[in-house]
Amino acid sequence: MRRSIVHVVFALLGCSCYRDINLDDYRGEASVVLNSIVTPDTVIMADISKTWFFTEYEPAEDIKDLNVELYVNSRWMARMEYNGEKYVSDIYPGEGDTVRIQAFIKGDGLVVAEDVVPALSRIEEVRVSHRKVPSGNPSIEVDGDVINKRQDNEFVYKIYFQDEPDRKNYYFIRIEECDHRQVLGTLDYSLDPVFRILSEQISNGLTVQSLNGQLGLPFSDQGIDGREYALTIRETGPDSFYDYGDSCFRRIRLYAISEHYYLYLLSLQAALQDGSWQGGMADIGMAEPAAIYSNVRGGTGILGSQQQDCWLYDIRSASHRR
Amino acid sequence: MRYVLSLVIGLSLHSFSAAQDRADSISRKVHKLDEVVIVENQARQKNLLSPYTGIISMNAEHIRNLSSLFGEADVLKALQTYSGVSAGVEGFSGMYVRGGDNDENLYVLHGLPLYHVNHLGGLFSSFNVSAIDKVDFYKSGFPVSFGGRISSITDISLKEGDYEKYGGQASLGLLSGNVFVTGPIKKDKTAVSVGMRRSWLDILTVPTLAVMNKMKEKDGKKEIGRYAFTDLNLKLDYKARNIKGYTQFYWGKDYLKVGEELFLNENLLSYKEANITQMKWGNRGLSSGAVWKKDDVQVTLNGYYTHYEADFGQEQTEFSSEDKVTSNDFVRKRNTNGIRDLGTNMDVSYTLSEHFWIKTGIHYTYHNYYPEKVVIESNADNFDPPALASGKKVKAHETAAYMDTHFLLSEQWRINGGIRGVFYSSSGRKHFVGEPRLNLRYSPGKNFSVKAGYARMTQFVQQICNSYISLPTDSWLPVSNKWKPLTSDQISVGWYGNLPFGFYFSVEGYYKWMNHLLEYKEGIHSFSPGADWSDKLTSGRGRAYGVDVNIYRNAGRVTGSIGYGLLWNRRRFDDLNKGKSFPSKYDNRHKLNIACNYKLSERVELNAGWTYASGNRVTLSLYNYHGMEGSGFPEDMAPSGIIQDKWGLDYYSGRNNVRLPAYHRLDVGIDIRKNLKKNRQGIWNIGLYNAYSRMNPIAINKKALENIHGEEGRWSSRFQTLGIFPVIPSVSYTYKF
Repeated sequence: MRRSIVHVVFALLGCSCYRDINLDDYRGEASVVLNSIVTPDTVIMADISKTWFFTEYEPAEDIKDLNVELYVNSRWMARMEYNGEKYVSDIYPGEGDTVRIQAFIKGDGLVVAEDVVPALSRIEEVRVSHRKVPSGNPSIEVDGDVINKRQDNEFVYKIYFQDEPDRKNYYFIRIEECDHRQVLGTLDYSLDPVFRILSEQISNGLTVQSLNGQLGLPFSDQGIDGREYALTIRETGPDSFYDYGDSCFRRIRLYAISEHYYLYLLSLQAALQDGSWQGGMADIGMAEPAAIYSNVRGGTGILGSQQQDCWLYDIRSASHRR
Repeated sequence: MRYVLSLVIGLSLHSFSAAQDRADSISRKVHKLDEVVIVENQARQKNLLSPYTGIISMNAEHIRNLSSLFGEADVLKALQTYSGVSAGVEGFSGMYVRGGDNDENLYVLHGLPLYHVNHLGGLFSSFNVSAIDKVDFYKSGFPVSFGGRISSITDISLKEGDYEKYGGQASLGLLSGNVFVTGPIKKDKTAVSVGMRRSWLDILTVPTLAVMNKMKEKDGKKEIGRYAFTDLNLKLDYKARNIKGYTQFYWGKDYLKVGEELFLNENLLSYKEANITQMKWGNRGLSSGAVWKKDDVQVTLNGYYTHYEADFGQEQTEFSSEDKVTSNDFVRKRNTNGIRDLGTNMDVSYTLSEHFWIKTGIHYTYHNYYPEKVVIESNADNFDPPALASGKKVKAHETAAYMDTHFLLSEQWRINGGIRGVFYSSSGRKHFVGEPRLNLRYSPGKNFSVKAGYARMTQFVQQICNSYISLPTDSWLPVSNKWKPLTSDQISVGWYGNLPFGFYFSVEGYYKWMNHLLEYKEGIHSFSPGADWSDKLTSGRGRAYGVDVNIYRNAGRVTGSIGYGLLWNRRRFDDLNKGKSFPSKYDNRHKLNIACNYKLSERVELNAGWTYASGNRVTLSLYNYHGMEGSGFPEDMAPSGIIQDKWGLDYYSGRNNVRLPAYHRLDVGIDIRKNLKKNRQGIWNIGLYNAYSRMNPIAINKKALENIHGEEGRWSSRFQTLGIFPVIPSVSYTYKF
């Protein structure tokens, strides 16, 4: 919609024209990219590479043989070694630990990133209600002269968790299929106010009727601070998604994420899924683009942290287990 | 004659000193020539003798002679051709004067301040040239009677009504038509002028879309699109023995609607879904004033009400009917921003002697701002709109008093000094600022002069814009408790003179400091719907300096101008670009403009204009980098919520890091006049905008294609420029009666 509006305006203005341009003169030095996600479930590791000039589709390979150091709570812990894919350590971080990774790059100096591992937020309960609803697809099935009304299944998830008071908390929620033959229906987050706030933040558009995110969405505790809260998410799909097998499990992951990681995810959503006029203008190069958030000094990328809790829920029999 | 001239120039009555009396006396000698020549001679004399630097005066005829887009004469597009004025994005009436931003220009339409002066997103300005008499444009050396904006003042005088007989003109162009009529209500006492302009693009687009939609009906799709603008100028002029007065009403409105409908009608099932976006914006206002003049004293009184409002609406509706069971869901969102001002001015000027002249005045404005009002409505189940920063009105009182003095020390020396004091109060916060202005002229000979000037300007409201064109949805934000008023200090020095064969010139250097500029914070910091406006913004400073060189000729059969501008324009904000200084978007280093008119005969006039400017700057991601997925972290460990493509994420190395290719275009036109019966005249104007069809880039996009030529594994990624205006022929007909 956003592009169509902008293009209709330009169509009214005249006939637009795209032409290739060589910007090699602007080619400068590539920057260092440090990416890492820290969680108590695994050892601390990092990927270090470089940015690449857009017209050369040669995604930068890892920078090897660097002196990469790991600090936890300001204490030197280990030198991270390159294992052919990443720089790894044998350190498992704990909740509340401040993790700092710094790499010395010849010619680029010091590249540093730091984050704090958030407290785990447990899913306390999941409830799912089910009903049949008229299909959102207006097409009709014709069987001879009989018109069969198409109906969809609607599952409404209520995911209960306790938000810790007196501090800012950030989360990421995700619902997954456990068997690819039991396809995940369309997820709609618009029933819940925390996601409507998110929608306003990233798009400033009209998203009250539906707000999708098949791979999950981040949210903050704005408006729910310190409360036990039930997130509401709706899944809708035809019978064929749910017919296979004796049970139909969904995996529900609630991640507690750090503020840095939340800002990174928010900026990703805004940059790649922005539905606003402003975003449309930015897409065609007519407005100031929103850069992806980075907490890496001396380079770019993200050092984020998370802890996750996971539930399995059989939406057919209403049984569930952690 | 002096009296008549002062009326031609307008009732705002600026610096007419003893030196300008001389200019008048020169003009008096040629008073038998037509009014155009008088005004042009004034421009030449003003250039030489006025103490002010950076003044441009144009009359309606001059504006009409400049070829313009779609053949529509346009005040702002005419001003954009001068050195020191950057045009912004092609086709849009942006005006960035000597490194300033688009919101730093004061537009006064015959005593009525206007906030948003663009039609069609800036393709045309709101001023109907048919109703205009004269435009005075200041880019430095600002008269002390003006304030409230830091970069320029555009003072537009409307035509005075004809006290003797009815007359006027009507014209029809490619996109709009307009009519202007003037005549006496009471002969020699009261005159009325009415100017009205309306676009007629919708008359073409509505039936075209109807035909297209009819063809697409079987696909269940309908496109919606409509645009129209209207403006109306209504003016009453009246005069008594020592008093001249006017009352004018201005109304300008734009309406844009785009969207699409999807529908299905089969047997018992009926379904319709619509997504519609609407924008409405415009100014309206009323002003009234009178000038009383006796001997050496002149008193001007003026009062006005101006109202600007922009409304941006989005609507989604869904209707379904099946077996007589119907549902009708909707969600609407409406963003409104606007300003209402009520003001009054009193100015008194007194000529003590041929060598000393004084002007003083007091101005008061009551501002009513509503920066952003958001309303969301829906009949959806469990509808609970998110908390938004909305609807906070801000009221402010702005009072200014000034004193302006002119000394003609000798034939060579002239000094103009003044001070303007402004008291601004809003939300319990008070600001008092002093704005000293000083202008000095030294004339070593009768054909040359040297001038120097200093001006401090203050601005209490800023329009915050994140796109490269000025949109009516961009909110005007008054200074808050957090932010200080925007200020500028500008010094300028110039050399001015008359040359043989009717040529005259100006060479002017300037340096401008701008403080407390506001911009949106970068990236995610601006994403907070519940946050107050002031938390989304950051304050910084700007510097601009350069040289403007202009050569004019407005006598003889060949007239025209050559203007060259050299500009450096930079910004520094602690919260932007990692605190490093960066070039402004309109850091157009070089600008050259050549305009030429050739009067082939009494009936035929040719005109041509060539413009060259260094490209605007844009923020462009030149490099890409791996996100978490590309770095090999699995989605369950590093959730992102999005599918990242193979090109990774955009990396921005700096703000405004790329300069667009240079802008240049040639416009040509011809006016063919035909004298008709009863002293009437018909004028055909035929023109070519961008005659050699250079698709001047307005933006650069990144384009990534996969598997080009069907070859597996081959990629193509490239940068592409976007240009929107090819050669555009135009034709218009004007009938003068």
